[in-house]
Amino acid sequence: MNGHPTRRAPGILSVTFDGVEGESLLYALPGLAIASGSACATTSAEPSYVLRSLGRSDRLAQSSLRLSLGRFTTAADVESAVGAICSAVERLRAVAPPGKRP
Amino acid sequence: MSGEDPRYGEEVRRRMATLPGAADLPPGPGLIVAGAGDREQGAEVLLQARVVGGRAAALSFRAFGCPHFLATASWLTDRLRGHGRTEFEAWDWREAAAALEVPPSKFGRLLVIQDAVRTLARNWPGDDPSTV
Repeated sequence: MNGHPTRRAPGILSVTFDGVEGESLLYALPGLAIASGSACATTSAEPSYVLRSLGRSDRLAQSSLRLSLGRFTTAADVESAVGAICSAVERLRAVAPPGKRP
Repeated sequence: MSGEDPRYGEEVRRRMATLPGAADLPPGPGLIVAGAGDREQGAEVLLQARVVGGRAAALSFRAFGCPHFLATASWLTDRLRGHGRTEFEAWDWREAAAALEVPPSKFGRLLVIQDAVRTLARNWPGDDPSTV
């Protein structure tokens, strides 16, 4: 989890998934309104300067998701999102070259 | 995986659905391996091929990267199956760029895959290219 563990804005969460490329993770989660720290899909590959200022390396900044709760988000929505994210992360880690996984 | 993002062509979407070829080949005679890229730079691939009778009887991959990169590695495991060292040496990334509708901003990632393919050719068992 990026940022301070308690002193943070409610409803917004930035999480880094080591060993997973951000754009592929976003691709695998089409039903979720989320953003990545990666700018891979644009002409710039520059990772988030905010995450870098928090001490994340470029690679980890590109492996981050920013999740936000909406006014109508339910607990069931959150549970569903957690399941989908875990499944996608596990799959992408499984196809990555061995030796550098977390 | 299921993406309908229009930034990705049909072949990328089809490949990303199941990522065919994403596996390790079992160890044994004729197995060659080549890697290229750097995870820190956002693209790393490991290609494996089993050479039987001078030709790649089976190929597989592992990759870290964007959907275009993963799909291209998967596509290659089918594209180069049955071919010999000469075809591996000559393979050019532009073929994948056209087949998978890869945007120009990602052409550099295809060069990473081309590096791995050519390293496979250099690791080919046997010293005489005429036998391939």
